[in-house]
Amino acid sequence: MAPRRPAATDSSDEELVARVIAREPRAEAELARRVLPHVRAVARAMLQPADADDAIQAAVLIVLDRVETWKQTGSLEHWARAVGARACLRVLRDARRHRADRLQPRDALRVVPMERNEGELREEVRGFLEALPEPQREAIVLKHIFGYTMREVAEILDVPLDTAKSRLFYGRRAMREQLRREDQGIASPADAQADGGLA
Amino acid sequence: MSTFESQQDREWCERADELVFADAQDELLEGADALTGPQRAEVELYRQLRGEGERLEAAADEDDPLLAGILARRAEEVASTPQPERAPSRRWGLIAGASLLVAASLALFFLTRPGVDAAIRVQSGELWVSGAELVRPGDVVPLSTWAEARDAACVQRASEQVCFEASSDFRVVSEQLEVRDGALRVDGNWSIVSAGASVSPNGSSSTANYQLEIASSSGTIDLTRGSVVVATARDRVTLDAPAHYSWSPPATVAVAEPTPQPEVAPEPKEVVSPPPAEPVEPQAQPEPRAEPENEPEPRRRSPATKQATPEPENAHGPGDLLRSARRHAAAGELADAEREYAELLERFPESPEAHAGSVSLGNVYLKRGKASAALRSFRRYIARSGPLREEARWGEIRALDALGDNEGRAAAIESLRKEAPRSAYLRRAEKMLNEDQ
Repeated sequence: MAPRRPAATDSSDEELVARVIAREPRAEAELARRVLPHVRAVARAMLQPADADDAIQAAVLIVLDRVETWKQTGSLEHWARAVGARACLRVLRDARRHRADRLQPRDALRVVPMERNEGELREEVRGFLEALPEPQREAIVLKHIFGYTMREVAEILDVPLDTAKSRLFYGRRAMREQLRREDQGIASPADAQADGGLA
Repeated sequence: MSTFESQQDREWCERADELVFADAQDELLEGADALTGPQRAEVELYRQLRGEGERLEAAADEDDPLLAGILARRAEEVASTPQPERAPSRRWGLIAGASLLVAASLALFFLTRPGVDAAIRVQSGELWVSGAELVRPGDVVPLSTWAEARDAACVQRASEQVCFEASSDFRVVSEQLEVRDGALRVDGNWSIVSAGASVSPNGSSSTANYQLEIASSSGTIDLTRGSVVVATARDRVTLDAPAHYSWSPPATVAVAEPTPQPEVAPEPKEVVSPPPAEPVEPQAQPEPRAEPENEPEPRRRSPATKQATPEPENAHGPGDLLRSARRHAAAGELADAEREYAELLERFPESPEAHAGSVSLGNVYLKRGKASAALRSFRRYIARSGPLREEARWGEIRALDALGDNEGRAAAIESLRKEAPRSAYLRRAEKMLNEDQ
């Protein structure tokens, strides 16, 4: 996938990476400055603000640390965004683990709902995502918000391609049914959950 | 209950899925005008989702206090990584010296044994290297590159083996195993394990001789079995289990066994079960690692004193202060942010965090309408220079603009033009000038 938003570059990706590797003093700062917005976009879509900052910082440090291994088959920003997404998922999963640890065993069987202030997505979009289990939500965010290819989605989620497709399929189906319920005037699962029902 | 309206609707949905799986969802968006009802609503939803991605990325040009924190942490991370071409600072001298000595001993040990492959290879499982490349059994693990165990995985160097739980994150730097997340078990003499300063080092380490948990979030090490030497920039102590040790993250902490003690090895409690391995001939133990002559004598702690924190004066280190100030700034709690940035600069004026923090403090001052203070803060950074010089210069320009000092502002813009002719801030500064005219 080509990045949708061309980077405002001061130097080409290759030049910049070469300067970073050569330890040119200001090159790392330029690289960080360049990849930060892309990493931040992913983090803000997936995480609460408090977690997002940590994930952004972690992801940019990883990019700086691993830039020598960037393969010049895609843009630097695209690669950085994938690294950022993986860092965000790690933070997200840590948070999910901590939340699950606090739940009673009976509750652990439930879909853990997205917290109301999670991410910085607009209300109308968030409503659809909140109703999804997190694995499906992650696949939807990567595919439909950030436009990754299926193979990239699978790599970022660290699952086989078929698993990624399956998560996306069920996530899309759930959103689709929610749309049709709304169209037919049937209460959505999110509404039912808000009324005390089980998702 | 099916919510599909018709066979036609079902077929449309199947076609839509195919397009998405074929990475051709744009075709779906392009055909939206011909659709009605829920199909139109569905495509509109995908358009909204796509728009969210673009909106989030478009928020890219905001001034970012995170950048200062990232670069400060990077500076500390680089400083803590052994780099032979750089003269080690006094601060890191102890750790670097000890690490190099150990590395040299291990290297000498392996290199002088004929037929021994000193390369570190994947023995079982798979590792993500650099977040993008998979290395598999038999592949060499590159040095100095962070690797993440995809599932439970083991790496091997000669007869030594380290096994990691899934998602553990580590790298090998100068023969030293550096771990920042996860759980591992070490078999053999590969006993140096350090929790790096970079990203939330947390995890457990288990060898035949010791077992411990490191939690960098709280800055603690809990030793449940055996004996280890723990070294930070300020402290070096020998702990005997059971022991609790606290330090002030994100400073690097290095953990090492005092001496190899194979004869007293109890049955280890496994954190990760290594896969069955071929029987290995017992290997000779390397010479015990000598401590550098100028190292302070390791202090033995009695069990009664083990709970004490060894460096209470550093309970809020520069990293803590910077992170806390940044959190306050991000939450809009500017008074708290200002107070903590100022404290950072006052208490740790020579730290990289304080240097980077002066730019952030300038930004906070600006937001609070204290343009003069902001100007001083930005100029303090510019005087010492550093990777945030562009940000500092841009801050200086804004502060002068807020003070109405057009002459000074023009001079600052000119300085920025000379220093960073392709800076994105220069475009914004020129826009500022054009708006005035």
